[in-house]
Amino acid sequence: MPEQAVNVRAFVVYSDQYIAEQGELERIRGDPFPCDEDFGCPR
Amino acid sequence: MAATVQIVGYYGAAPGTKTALTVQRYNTAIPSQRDPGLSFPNNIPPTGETYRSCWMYTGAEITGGTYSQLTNWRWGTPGNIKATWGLGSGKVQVALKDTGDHGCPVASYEAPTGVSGSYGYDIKDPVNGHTYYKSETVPCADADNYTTTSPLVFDTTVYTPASPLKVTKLVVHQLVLEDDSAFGEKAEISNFIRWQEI
Repeated sequence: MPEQAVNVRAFVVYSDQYIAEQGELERIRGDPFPCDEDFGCPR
Repeated sequence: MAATVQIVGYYGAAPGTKTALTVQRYNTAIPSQRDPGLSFPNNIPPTGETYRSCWMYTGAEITGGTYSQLTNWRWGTPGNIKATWGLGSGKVQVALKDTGDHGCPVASYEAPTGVSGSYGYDIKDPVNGHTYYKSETVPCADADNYTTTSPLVFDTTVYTPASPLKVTKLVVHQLVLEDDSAFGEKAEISNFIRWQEI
């Protein structure tokens, strides 16, 4: 049975809205792991 | 000698410009383009939204050769586009009709619209969707459902040397992106068009 290939491509990026949303989430959450704090439980 | 067949797409303003092709790229260029490279990319939406590429047309044209009739035109994919492209809950969707052939007649070509560089409208959008499909009851299907063993029959017309138009109906499909889809330049995927020839 005759057949021909037809190939497809795509390039996907983050939308400006997605990036803005992530930036806003980061701002709200703040830095979850400040480097000068010890999160271990004291004995 | 067999029939000579080439794959074609249609682009731009209605009635569309027929373009012979071996590769086409889902993109967000308006007016539509076959492959704008890395320009007019598809965009991952913010949380809870869905973005799409512009819809895209794929069909076949009989350009010559010797044959009595060609019919039963089918289109399919490897069946793993979602996984290969990391689309998450996104997919490639293909338009279906409630009855009759699923392909869109060339005369019903409609230029895709949307926001150039950002997204195209859904084929099924009640307002901005494709007139030939948007009022159908059946939703668009996941292109991964159509493979070599279960292809989409998109045109059952019998084409003969006397047929005035030797371009098949057109498969209409578009890339659907959700907020969990992965970004990046995607690997080229090989779909197929198959037919019966006498």
